[in-house]
Amino acid sequence: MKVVVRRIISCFIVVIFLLSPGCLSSDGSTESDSNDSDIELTVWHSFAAESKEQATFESRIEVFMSSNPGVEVKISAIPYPEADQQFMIAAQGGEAPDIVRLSSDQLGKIGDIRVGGQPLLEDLRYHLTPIERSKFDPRALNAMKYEGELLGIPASQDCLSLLFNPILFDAAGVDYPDESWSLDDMLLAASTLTSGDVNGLALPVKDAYWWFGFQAGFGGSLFDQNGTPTLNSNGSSDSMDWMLDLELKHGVVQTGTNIESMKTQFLSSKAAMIIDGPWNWVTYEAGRIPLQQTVLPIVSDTGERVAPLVTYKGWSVSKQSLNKEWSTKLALFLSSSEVQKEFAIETYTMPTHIELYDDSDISDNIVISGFLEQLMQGTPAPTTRAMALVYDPLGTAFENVYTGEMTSSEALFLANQALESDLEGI
Amino acid sequence: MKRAFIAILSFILLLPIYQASEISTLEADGDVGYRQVELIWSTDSPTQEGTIFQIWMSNETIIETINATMHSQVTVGNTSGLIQPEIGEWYDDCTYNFGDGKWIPVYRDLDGTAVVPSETIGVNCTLTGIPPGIEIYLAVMVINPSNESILSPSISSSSTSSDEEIIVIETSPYIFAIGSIALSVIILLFILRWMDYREGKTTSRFAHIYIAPAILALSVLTFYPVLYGIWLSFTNADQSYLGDQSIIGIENFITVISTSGFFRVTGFTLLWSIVNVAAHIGFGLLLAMALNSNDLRGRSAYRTALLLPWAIPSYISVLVWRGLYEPAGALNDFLGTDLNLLADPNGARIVVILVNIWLGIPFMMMSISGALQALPKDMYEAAEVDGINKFSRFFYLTLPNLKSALVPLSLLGFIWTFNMFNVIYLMTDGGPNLDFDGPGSTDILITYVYDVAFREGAYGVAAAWSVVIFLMLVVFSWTYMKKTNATEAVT
Amino acid sequence: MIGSEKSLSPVFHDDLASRWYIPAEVESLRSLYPIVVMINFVSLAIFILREDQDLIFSSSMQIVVSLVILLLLYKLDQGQRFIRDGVIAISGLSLLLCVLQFLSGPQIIIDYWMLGWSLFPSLFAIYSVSKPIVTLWASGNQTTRSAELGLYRNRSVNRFHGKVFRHVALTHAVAFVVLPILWILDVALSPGNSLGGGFFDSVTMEHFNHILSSESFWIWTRNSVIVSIGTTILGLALAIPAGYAFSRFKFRGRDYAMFSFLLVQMFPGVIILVPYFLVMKALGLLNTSVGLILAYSVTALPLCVWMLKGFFDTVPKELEEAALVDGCNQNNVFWRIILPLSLPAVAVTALFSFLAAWNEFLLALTFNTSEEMYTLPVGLASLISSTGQAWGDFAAASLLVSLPVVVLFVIFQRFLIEGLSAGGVKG
Repeated sequence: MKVVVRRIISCFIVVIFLLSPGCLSSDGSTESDSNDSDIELTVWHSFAAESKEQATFESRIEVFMSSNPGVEVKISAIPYPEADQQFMIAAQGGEAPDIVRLSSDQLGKIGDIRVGGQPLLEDLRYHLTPIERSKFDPRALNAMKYEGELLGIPASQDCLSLLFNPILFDAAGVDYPDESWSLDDMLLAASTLTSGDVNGLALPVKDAYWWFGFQAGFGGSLFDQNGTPTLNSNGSSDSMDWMLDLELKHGVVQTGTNIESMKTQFLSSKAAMIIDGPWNWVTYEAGRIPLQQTVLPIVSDTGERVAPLVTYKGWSVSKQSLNKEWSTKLALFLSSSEVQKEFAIETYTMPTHIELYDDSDISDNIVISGFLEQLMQGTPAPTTRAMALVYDPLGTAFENVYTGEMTSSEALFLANQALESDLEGI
Repeated sequence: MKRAFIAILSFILLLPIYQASEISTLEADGDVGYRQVELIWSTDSPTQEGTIFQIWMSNETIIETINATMHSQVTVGNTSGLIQPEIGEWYDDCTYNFGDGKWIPVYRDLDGTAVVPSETIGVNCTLTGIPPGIEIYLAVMVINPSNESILSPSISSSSTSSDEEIIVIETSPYIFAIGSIALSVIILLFILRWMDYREGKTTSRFAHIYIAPAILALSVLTFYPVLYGIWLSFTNADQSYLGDQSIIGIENFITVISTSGFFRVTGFTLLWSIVNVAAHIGFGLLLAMALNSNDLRGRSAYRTALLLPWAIPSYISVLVWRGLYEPAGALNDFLGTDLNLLADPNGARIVVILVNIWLGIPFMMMSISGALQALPKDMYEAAEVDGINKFSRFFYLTLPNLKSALVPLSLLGFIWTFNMFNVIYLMTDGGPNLDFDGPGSTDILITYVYDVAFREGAYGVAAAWSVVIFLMLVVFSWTYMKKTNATEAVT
Repeated sequence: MIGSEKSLSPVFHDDLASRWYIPAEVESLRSLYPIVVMINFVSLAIFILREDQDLIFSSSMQIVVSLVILLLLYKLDQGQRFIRDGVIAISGLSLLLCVLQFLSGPQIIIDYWMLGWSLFPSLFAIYSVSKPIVTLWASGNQTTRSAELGLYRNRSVNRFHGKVFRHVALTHAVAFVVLPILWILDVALSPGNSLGGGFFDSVTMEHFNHILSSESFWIWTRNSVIVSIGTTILGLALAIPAGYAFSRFKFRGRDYAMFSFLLVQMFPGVIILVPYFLVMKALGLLNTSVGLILAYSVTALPLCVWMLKGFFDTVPKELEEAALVDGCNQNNVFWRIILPLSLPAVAVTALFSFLAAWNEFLLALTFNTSEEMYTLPVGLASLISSTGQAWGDFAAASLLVSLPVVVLFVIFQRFLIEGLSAGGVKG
């Protein structure tokens, strides 16, 4: 018996021993050094591990550290789907990183959070001189503003555009798409190209993100100037019907296409055209598709061009950071024209630096210049709480119309109502 | 005479053009805000269109602008059609006046530069981006329309306002909470032991010590978060005012019960759990029995193959299943059909249940295998000699002996399945959602809680949902435990 | 026929062996045909979904035929020779239907499978029911001696049938289970990074090379190994005494203590992440392996404790008491007798703790945000980018993550078998 008791007591001691380091440093102090010459910054990003973006990013951080001795930068790659959640949890626990990469639509949610009355992100308006600010595309800068506060420095932007596989076009004897195309041209070409197991077009017809561009082209908009939702504005239900008909009526889009399968279709040359962003370009090229890009077509009824939603990604500084100046310096460095240019050329990440819009290397690169042209035609996503809430009611609306439960005007009306009541509850 | 008149007239008319403005007064105030300095200047004469003010800053007195950094610019020009943001709306605030003391907000052109109309005399700008706490020299350079530039003398200032106090999260309250929980558990154990000892009821003096480490670890790490969650459900916590929530009683619970689709989602959760556990245990049992005979060749290979779903990270296997069930996926190729299961509410429900069954069978099979191994073989041989057929052997010999293993397995299986988040989240994310206000068709309680917490940010309500889930499971487990006498010690 | 029955009756009805003897073949057929009927129903469902009229018709016919055969089989008894003949005839009919189905052209694998499940049972039925032994029994010419011989023969035939049936069942189960895994393997071996393409059309090791040569992967593996082994050790150290106590001792608070282990699993983790994080921070265990080990041990405790208790329950107390009487102290009893007997249970518990730690993602990510402390699931998730991931790399990494687990499974199985030999002490 005594042996057993002794053993158990020794287990206790072991456990307490393991816990003691924690108890000893219990006053909540972080590991911030007392000597000022060593600044330690933590950066969180969501570039995929082992990707080109991560490699480019890490090399730039090396450059920063070597030109700023005394500053140590620790990087963490946070999986993208959990990035904003993890940031919120860490911030509530007082362990937020100094800098984090967020997209403008995440700002609309994180910007609302108050922990003990304090927001999570630093207002960078006071950290930048106007000259520093003027280097960025004003639309990009504006997208990083939430309720008047500048919550991030924009480093990249992206939107959807029209990509196509010229080989399939040649095989079917159809002319390549160009700027003068209208939606009817596109539908006609897609129908001609759809034969056998090849589909003319690939896009997820139920996904709201793809729909925004069409809604704008048909004359609608998500919100009016005051931010009131107008999901069922003029042209919205027409655009929704048009998009769903691609799959349900005309059959140019394969049944049940979603974001993953459309990529697969295009990669295996089973889709002649795809509406996609620049993020998969490298994958398609690696899959030996000699793809090309052109701007999205014009809606014949309204004469407006399909205007996809533009989202921006940038670097934000956490309110809890103990080294805000260095953090801002690092954020500015990461959004500087050299770094943006390298990201653009290496990874097809579209820049937001005004200098780069006229840069010869950038304009020589057909991919970047093509997408920049599309970006100019796009509508920046409003950075508001409402924008973050838009996807749920729209998703439900699409499901209902797709399964034939409701007409698009009914569904959009109800979606708008739901969004309004969600906003009232905020 | 005429010529002189014209000359004088032209001189008077051209005077404004030739008159170069320069800065007559320059003031700075460093106490206006974190990293901000207010700079006020005025010119000696009304400025003309085409004049540019450039604000320069440096660490030392500015003699030439080469050694300084340009901070910002204010242009004097045509302001028609330009926006004029109110104070506080733009990234920084600048105002101008015509020398009359009435300050008017400046205009902003497309790239954000401040524009003031001609005749402006004074400008007041709150400069941002000033390094805090150190002495900064500022100067304004006037570039006249004739390209003549005049640099004002430097003025020094420093931004003295400090940053907002960062709220430091103290950990001592948590240590206190954990410590008190640990202490109370230890004291409770001691009290129980003493009471038993006094009454001579226990069969061992050390029973409480045996369970102490496990109970302590459990309580220290998990009691506090759970108690916190319960407390949170009575507050109106929301992400926009965390830390400032106040108790609102059972209002959250009323919201929960009155959510449209509450019964639907609870019903589906129950259906999901029961069907899954039944299938897991049923198939697990069948497979474990099939694998139970010693003279089965390739038994290890079969067993390893059947355990594979448990080895592969569920993230990728669920996503692969999703790809298989899509209209273009392998299921349709395999069956020769043309189903679009995931787009239909009932189809999607069947699919997620099937995928979860696939995921859960290996664990049950393995646990039951372990239990079967512990059964004495001679019992079966005796039965066989007696001529009892296979089914009766199973029902009257195997099952009762497995009970002590099956009961905890089914109970835990039910609890895990009830709260199984991954499969549905990855497979359908609760969709297809045909109901605007409520949960989707494949939502179970826990996936809906996630939506409420993270998408809407209503933590109080989400905590209430969690408590409801918790209570449901507590009631179920307690009744199940009592009914099956699971806690009996077999003597 | 009726007359022949009567003349033999005195020999039969008093003889146990003869009365209870049913040839093994008939027993097996009786167990087989319900399954055949079910599979036929499944085929019917698939054909209805496929909307192929001919196949729907032939499949319905098959169902009717199989039901009839089943009925006949149950009615089949000694002296019912005409039923036996009926079985052969209807099975022949079933064969005919199979031929017809085959002629209308099955296109894909599953058609052949459904065909097989009608074809082979029919063939087996015809074959076994025509056997002389069955004929003897069915015609009522069974003598006591041949009945006894028959019973003896039944044993080996049943064993044989059992083996065949097991193999068939297990093969089906393995096919269902392994299908997606083959898919993952295909994606891991295909060049490029998409989630589709032909099945094993081109094979490349580029993804595996990419993952194995990345430094981070090995850091993740090291962390996962440390955390998982630590969890197993700590989990067992906490759970074994507790399970033993719950099993052997009666003490105040026992039921409630057992129940409290369950309580924690019931509260959804979504809400308690932040306080949990703060508790870990207060203990100074963020970004450490120890923190995760503790958290995982606690997560695995309920199952470990309950399982171990359940297994300790099956070890008869008399064994312990005998050993104690013999002079062993409590300690030795525990280590030398109880533990080896419960080895299967301990092995299951250990495996479960290891896997709970190996595959857990959310807590690992929340508590350890510094890259050197990432475990494999977190590292795997960080391969996901904002715009869809590199499926090839991801699949390869997933398979690599599963490898150690599979190795563990193989090792674990030996413990299961060894547990059996240790059980020789019992009874």
